[in-house]
Amino acid sequence: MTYQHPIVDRATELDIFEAMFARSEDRGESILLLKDGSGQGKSKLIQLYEKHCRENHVPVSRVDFKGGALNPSDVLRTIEMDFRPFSNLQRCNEILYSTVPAPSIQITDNISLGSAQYNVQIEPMNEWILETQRILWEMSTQAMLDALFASTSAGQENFVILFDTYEQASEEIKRWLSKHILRMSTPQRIGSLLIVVAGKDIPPPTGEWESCCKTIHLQPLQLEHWKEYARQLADDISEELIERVYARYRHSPLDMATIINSLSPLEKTSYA
Amino acid sequence: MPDNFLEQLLAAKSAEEETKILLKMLPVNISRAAWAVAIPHWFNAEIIAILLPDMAAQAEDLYVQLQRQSFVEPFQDRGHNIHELTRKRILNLWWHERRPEYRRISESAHSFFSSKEGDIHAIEAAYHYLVSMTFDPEDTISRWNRIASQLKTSRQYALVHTLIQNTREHISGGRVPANMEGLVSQWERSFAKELVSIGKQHQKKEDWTSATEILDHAQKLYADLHDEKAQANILIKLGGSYFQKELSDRIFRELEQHKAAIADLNRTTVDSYRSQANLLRFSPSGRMREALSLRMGIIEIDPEDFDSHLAIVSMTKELDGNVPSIYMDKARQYVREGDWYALTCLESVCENFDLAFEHLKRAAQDENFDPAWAWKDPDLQWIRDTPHFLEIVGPKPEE
Repeated sequence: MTYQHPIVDRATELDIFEAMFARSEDRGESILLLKDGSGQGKSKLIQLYEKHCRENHVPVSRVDFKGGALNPSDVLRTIEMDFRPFSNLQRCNEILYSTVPAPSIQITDNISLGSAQYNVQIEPMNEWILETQRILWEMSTQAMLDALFASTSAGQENFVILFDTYEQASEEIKRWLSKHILRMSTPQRIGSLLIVVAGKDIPPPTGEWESCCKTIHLQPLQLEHWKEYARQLADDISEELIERVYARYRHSPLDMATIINSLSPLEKTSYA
Repeated sequence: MPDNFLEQLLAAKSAEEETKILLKMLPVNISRAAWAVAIPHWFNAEIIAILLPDMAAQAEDLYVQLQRQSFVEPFQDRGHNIHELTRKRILNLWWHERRPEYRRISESAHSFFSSKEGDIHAIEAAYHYLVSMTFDPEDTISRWNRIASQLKTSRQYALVHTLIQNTREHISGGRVPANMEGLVSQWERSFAKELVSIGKQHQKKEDWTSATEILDHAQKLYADLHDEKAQANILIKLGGSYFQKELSDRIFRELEQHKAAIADLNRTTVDSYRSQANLLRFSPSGRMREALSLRMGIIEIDPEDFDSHLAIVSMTKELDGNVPSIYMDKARQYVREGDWYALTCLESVCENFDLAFEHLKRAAQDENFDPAWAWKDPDLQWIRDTPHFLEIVGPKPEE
């Protein structure tokens, strides 16, 4: 797939995304750690790449851990929903639903599992129901991810999974990611799978992870790209003003974008 | 206009002042909405209508307009939010310049989120309560306890961290009474204790997954409280769960994380790794190489740790048949004076058998000498199969 370079220069980073996805350099890296400070544009870059994937019909799923409230089943649900339309994943769903047995108990309440419903007879909020739900999800996670990774290893399908705001993910999520997703991304297992993890505070990869992780930081914004961007938003702004904004705020893309947006309130395009 | 605007901006003395100027540049209704939606952690059209009831009719349109701002970003499954940098500045402005209105809007937010079902809404309501007009410090802890018991039922322990972090957000902004910091820490500590006890119950039931998860949360709370001793104690408990779940990679990762932090040597933490190394060494599923790696990690933290040097010598001999002299020399250097049992082990592993028996005789006179362990101790396997050993230690006790 080819992508259109964005208006504002993030082509360097997107080229890295793309090279890893296409395995054009094929160093066996399939996990990209995007680390940078607040307001530098990590989330916008992630959203930009998500949009680009969708436009090019590449199966992509984006999960943002902001707020710290997601649990593994929420993440799995998002991934499953995003990948559902892609035909090769039918096998995933078949495995998912054939592996999870319906609990052999009487019926009064429903447990949702993806699109399937399991009827269960127990008091709502009973500890037991939660435990059952957890076990079901654990089983289904394994089944779905096995199918997903088998599919990529066989080269049948390509996938992109984007995780944002990693620093706010709960410990449970971090452990789950490590156990079920990141750890499966060894060079031997992966066909064409790109996993991007973006955040302010991501621990450096150690041990076996080093060989499948690549870490990048966002490139500083160049003056010419800034001018180009500012001009598109407000062409009546003087050259001097653009340069002064750049001189003062170039280390804070969010502030720069906010200033230009404020100068041109009717035509908002966000950048940082 | 733009040049004047920039002059004003460049003359600003703080990031807050810059933000105020930038918000002023927006159309009045969007600017007002931007101020208001910075108060909650996320917003959507429904929330805009609650925060600004006089603009409720325009809420949908304002929501769309706000999404076009650079400082607004999507909040998965909940709507959108003001970027954390901008939000922090706007909240400072609210508190210092428009406090009564801030309290009034927070009151509305508190009522709104309280009326919604679900843990996330209860936590957001608790956050707004702290700066609302009806805030009562005396009532805070019982409110949090109610939320905590709700979270224990739903097992959403991770949200406790959100509750605490949200409160700290107000504390660092100076928006709550000074004694709240102490109250939060006290509550956090007592909740961590409770989690430890729940974690232990799960360990007793051999539910290692739940035990690990719950103890992990407790450890995070103690880390937040900078209580290294409590953290170390949890590490010891967690070690058992990791071991049962064959999660030695977790033990190693924890060790890596703690290496720098405990350069000044937290004895209890090192002890926890020692006990985990022993668990691995004596595992029936043969995990001695992992135990060896862990011991290597321990001496990186504590280069004078005799036990680990001896264990490395002993395990290497058992696994590969040779005795690495560098570790043997270090073990000799750091063996505790008068610790006859340790000296027996060392000389046994180094095959200085006569010396080993001399030390063993002295060790056996100690009131703490444990003959049963001497019959099991792998360090003594090199001298055990002798009449001399039997004579000193006595007959092998029945299992």
